[in-house]
Amino acid sequence: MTVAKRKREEVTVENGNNESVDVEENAYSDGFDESEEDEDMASDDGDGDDLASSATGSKQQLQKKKKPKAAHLADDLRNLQEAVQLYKSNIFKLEIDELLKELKVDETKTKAVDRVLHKLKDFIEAIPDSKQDLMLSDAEKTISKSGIAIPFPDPKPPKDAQYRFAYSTPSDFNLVGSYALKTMIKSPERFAIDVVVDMPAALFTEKDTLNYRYFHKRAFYLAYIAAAFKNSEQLNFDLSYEFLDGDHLRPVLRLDSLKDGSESDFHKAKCYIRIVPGIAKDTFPISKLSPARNCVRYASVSPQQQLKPTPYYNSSILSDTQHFSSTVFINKAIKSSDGFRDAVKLGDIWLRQRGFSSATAGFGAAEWAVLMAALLVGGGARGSKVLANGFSNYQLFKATLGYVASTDIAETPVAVGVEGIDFDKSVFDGRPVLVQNDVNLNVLYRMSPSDYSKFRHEAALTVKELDDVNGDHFDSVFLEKVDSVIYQSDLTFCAKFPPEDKSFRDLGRVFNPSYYGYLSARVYEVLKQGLGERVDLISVRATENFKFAVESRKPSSSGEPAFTIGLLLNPEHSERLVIHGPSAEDKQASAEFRKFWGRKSELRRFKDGSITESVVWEPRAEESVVTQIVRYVLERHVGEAMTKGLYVVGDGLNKMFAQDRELADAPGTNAIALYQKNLDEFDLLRKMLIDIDDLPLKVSAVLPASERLRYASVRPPVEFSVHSSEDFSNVVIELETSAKWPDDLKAVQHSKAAFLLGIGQSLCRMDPTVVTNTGLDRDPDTIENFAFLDVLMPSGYAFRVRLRTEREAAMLRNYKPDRDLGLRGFKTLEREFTLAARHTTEFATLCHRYPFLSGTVRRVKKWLHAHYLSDHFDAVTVEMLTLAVFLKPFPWSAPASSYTGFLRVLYFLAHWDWRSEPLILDVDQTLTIADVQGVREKFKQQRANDPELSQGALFIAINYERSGMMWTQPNPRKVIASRMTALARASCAALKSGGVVFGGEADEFRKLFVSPVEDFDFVIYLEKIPAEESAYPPGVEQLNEPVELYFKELESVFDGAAVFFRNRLRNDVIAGVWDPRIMAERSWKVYLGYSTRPVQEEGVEQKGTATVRANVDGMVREMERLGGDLVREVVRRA
Amino acid sequence: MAKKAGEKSHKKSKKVEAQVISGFYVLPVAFPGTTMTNLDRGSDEEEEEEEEDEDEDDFSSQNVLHYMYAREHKTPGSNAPSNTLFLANLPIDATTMHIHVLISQLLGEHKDEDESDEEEEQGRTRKRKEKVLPTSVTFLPSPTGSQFNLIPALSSLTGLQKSDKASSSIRRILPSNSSAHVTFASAPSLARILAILKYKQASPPFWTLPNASSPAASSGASGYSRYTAIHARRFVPAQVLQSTVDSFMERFNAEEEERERAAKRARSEPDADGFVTVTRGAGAGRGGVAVSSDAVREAAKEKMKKKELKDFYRFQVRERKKERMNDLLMNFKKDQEKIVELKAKRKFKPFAGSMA
Repeated sequence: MTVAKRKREEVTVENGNNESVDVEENAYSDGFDESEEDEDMASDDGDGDDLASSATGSKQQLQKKKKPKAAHLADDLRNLQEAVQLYKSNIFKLEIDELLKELKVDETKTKAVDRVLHKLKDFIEAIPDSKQDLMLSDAEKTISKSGIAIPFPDPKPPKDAQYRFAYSTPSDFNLVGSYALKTMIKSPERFAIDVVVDMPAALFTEKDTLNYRYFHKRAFYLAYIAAAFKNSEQLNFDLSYEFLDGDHLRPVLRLDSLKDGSESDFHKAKCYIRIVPGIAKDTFPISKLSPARNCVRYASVSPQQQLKPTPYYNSSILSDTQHFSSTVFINKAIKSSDGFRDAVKLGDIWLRQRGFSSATAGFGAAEWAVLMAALLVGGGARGSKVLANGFSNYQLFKATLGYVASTDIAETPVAVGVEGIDFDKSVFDGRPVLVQNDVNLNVLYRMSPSDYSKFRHEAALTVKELDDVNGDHFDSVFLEKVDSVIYQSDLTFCAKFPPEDKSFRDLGRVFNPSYYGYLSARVYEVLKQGLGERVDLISVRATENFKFAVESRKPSSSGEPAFTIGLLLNPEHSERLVIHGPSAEDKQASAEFRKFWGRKSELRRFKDGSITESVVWEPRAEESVVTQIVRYVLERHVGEAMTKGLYVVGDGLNKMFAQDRELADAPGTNAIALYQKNLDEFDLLRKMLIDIDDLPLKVSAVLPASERLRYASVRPPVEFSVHSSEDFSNVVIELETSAKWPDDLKAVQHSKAAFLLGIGQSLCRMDPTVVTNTGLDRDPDTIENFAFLDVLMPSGYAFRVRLRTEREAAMLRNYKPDRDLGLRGFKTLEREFTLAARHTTEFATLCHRYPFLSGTVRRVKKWLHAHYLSDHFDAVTVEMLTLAVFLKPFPWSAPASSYTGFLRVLYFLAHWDWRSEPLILDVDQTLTIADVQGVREKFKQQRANDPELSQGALFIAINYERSGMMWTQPNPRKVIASRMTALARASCAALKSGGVVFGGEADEFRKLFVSPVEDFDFVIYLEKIPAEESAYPPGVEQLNEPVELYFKELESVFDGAAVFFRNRLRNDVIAGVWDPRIMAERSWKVYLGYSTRPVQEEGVEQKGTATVRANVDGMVREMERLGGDLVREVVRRA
Repeated sequence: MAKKAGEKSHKKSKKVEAQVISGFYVLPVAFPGTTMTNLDRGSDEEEEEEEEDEDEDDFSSQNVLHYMYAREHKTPGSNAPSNTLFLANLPIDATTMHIHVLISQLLGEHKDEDESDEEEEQGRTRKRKEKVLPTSVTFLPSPTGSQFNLIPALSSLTGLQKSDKASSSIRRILPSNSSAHVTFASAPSLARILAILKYKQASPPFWTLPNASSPAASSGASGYSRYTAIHARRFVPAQVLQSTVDSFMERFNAEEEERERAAKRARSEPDADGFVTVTRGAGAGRGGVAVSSDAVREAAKEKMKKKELKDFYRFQVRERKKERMNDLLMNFKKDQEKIVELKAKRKFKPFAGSMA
């Protein structure tokens, strides 16, 4: 069974409900026993019987003793137990309940529409029959009298059509679909109420299945009703035609309410009515319409060629027989399964958030309901049921998605009802198949292979997400708009529709009456062939207009519908330069390959001696290989008209990054390659260090501990560039163990310094061209590490070496003279030495696993720098935030381009509620539920201990650092975290509005990287300090960072008074914001922590205490004085 | 720099008492004018340029005032007249020199009974001033501020040569809102200063160093030279670090030896009561062992716990169940609360974005 992986609870519930008669009463005790067992099995083996009896015992006790309270308690408990078994978790159930409540349509408001529906029926039944056997011209005249058009589908009936048109009172009249089933939900699009009017069989002849005759007659029938409405004086509606579920062959009449307060006014119900012409099942012989038959006698190329089947056309007619029976079928499911109705709604929401609907993708709530109903009665192996009646709405929903994800119904169709007649699924060619056996209809005939593959992809993602027990995921499953042009795909193209071409008019429309559908399918095929394994998913969508005025025959094409192609890239293959074709010896395959690739294809000999057809692309900074291929194949196979308006969404951003000097990416090279030289030099240094043998202790380990050694620095390392500490790669070394280390921390630190000095000398002895230099992190009179050794390799790469000893950590942790100081030192040691090394190794590995992690993290860092947040975020924090969208990409898949990665991080930052949600990262899926719970517990404690978030705002735990605040304490502070969120939101909003992503140029994207100066209270503009050009061999003393030191000094001098900002990459500006707490007036005391001035006017008599306020002018002037000649100008906000 | 022109007109006016806050005299001082401009929000760049000049007129050329608060410092418990002034909210760059200049300015300000023959007066006041000038200044860094710890102190480095860049002086900058004890030679001197502080100064004294102050006094005070000096201090030459380390280790080893000798003595020699103190041997357990033994104990405890039968007695089972039930209920209540909270945030609106 395909959904064999269903949770154990689900199965037990199924059994439980099947056997118990009074479910209500037993649910409580059953549930209780159930959990009892669970628990026991988890812990150790207990005596099941005994437990069960004691459980019932306690329950009886409860009920006897205090009835009202016990009843209430029992109620709660029952809910709780149900929630645990039938839902993902209790909170998940509550969230679903709340969501469904929110989307429920208010029945009091639909009363008006019910009244209208009754009148409608009377009205239609009163419409007089038309004259019998109208010729086409007469039919047209009859209708055009009312000033409306007959919505004939293409091709129009020929002038000399021999068949006759007529209208007579519908043979049946039914309310169908979501309104009848009460499965509709509130939505901005309003919901439709479908009224089916069955056209009497007498109006048709057996031959009407051929050559669009049925559809032409149907169109006349519909127009006749429309004309009646138009001429009616009692019923007033806003009339329009609409293609039913996007099917161009089947227009329906749409009635929207006017707000005229008349009897037919139902606008408050937020819905519209559709009049849908249908036919009885026996109007035509079913066998004639089976999908493998041809019903359109198109002019074939050669007379010998057999006419191809017309499954779309046939299914359209068959669908018109199914309106009522399909509703009945679903209703049966609703009757048998309590959760069904809500599961349909959940499915509806899920589909809408992902851009699926009956009209746009051929799969919407209606199809979802049919599929679920089908799975309730079958669908599994050997006809077993996939869903059980006792499932909760959530279980139904999830199991259905699970089925979609795991079963390819294009291969193994789902069938409903008695075994049908010769159903040939192959004619649907990649489309999913859900057969209504009794009429031989594929309900999903309109769903394209592109949409179907996307549907399965989304289903698989959601199932994976719901299986993840370490998170709630409710938001991303139901609440977030997944179908987003900006965030969803790795690479998205937009194009305008080329005008209808001949190939469509001649033949294409026979198989797909919608030009958009036809073209999308062609584009999909071409791209699939052209891109191959470079992409994991191709999604082609057209935003089409299905609604049109009753005065016109079809929607006008002037609307220029947009056309989007979304690609999910395969990060391993997407940028490969060569496409290997078939071997030259395989003549037929070679010819096909050449035909597809045209002049791009060439015969090449490869290193392994093979000679094959192949296509070679160039790496370009401004255009990825995939983009080049898409342009080329679309132009070649779809036409120039298509590629003319084609553009890449967010291309401006890519161009901006490509031009960025700080990122300094070379086109076509893997991001990782930019760091290779530095890594090689690191290995060389490691070897040299290990080889040192003239010191008392040998170096036992050399660990990388720098963003430059884990592909994460904004600027890739460059040789002979040592202007700031940023240009050094941090390295941590360890020595072999020894018992000779002193027992005193200060002595340990001094001994370490002595070792570093010795190591420096040894290195210079080994290679005199190595330049070393010692530096101090702090005053040597300290228990913490104070010395480091700078090493400039002859190749020009710079490293900063610090030494860690094993005993240091324990000594710091147990530092008796000053516990706090010791613990602080211990934490620093852990962070800067132990964990920095661990994180560097882990992150470098992840950069190999996710090829675009490096590019993404560097862009995110640049963004934070640009907003002057350089000093508020530890590099590791940014890396973890970025990692979040790769490890937990829901509701999408992990980004496969730096562009998408960057935008997703912005999206994540804009939406992360860090106040109440910890970020828990699981690098290699090794965290257990208990681990995660432990971290959550820690988070809860942290928040309970520090409800004001004054010790730190972000809580980020990862496998190797579970305390959650190692890198986020004390920075970023709460205000900074809020600013981060606000900036991310503003960036997301800027992307969305004004069409920036759509063809915006690089300049427009620069806006995302500009922090408005108005946000700051004061801005200190700094003089440009001429960078001293270092010549080889450079003395490392040339390293000079006055701004760095000035900034740090400001921070400590004005600690508590102001928060400072700068962009470390530029160091052109220091901006500041006053702590809002100091702006208030308060009574004076000696140490307020900031400079003050009296509030009262001078000279006014003062008695006792008086209030003061921050002397902001004075403090700004103090900063300026300290900065001296570094400061060019200070601008203060008035 | 100094712009006294406009202020002179005030001089003749009647003495006004200085503002007093919580027993402190408010003492404004003026920071000499600099280049600060007001940011006119929302105005176009072109306009801004025009306005900049105006801004400079009303803000930049006007000296910015800093307010200090002064009071007699009384040693608790002592009735003797104090000779120390407590000066609160010092500017961050305050040095003894600054305070000297300030006090002499105050004294100078005060001698203005007879303005006509300034030169002669000056000669006299200088003598008087000298007597009144403080003998020592003790800075008390603000306890709420944090220390800038990137400057290694000169005193912790040994072997520095005069010629080394690292040896150049770096002015100590105080955390914002620091104070100082300013001690005078005698109580009357203080009284004299207090008498001056009692009245508002005709124009606030300048916060500055003597015009002709030696470059040495101001080097390392601000700007590029300051931070270059700090930088040099952080990157001391290897031989300096070497000798710093060596001298520390020498001292440390000597102390260590001394300690050991003392301990040995304590082990072998009976004390006054004839007892020999038992102490830890020289080679006995080093730190770190304790940590591991802790771990061992923890592990043992865990093991013990595991061995305990959890549902041997019925009451245990019952209690455990009750506990769990309560837990479940509690969680349930919490969940419900959370939902209410989320609802309040209008969370359950899946189509909210498109509806707007």
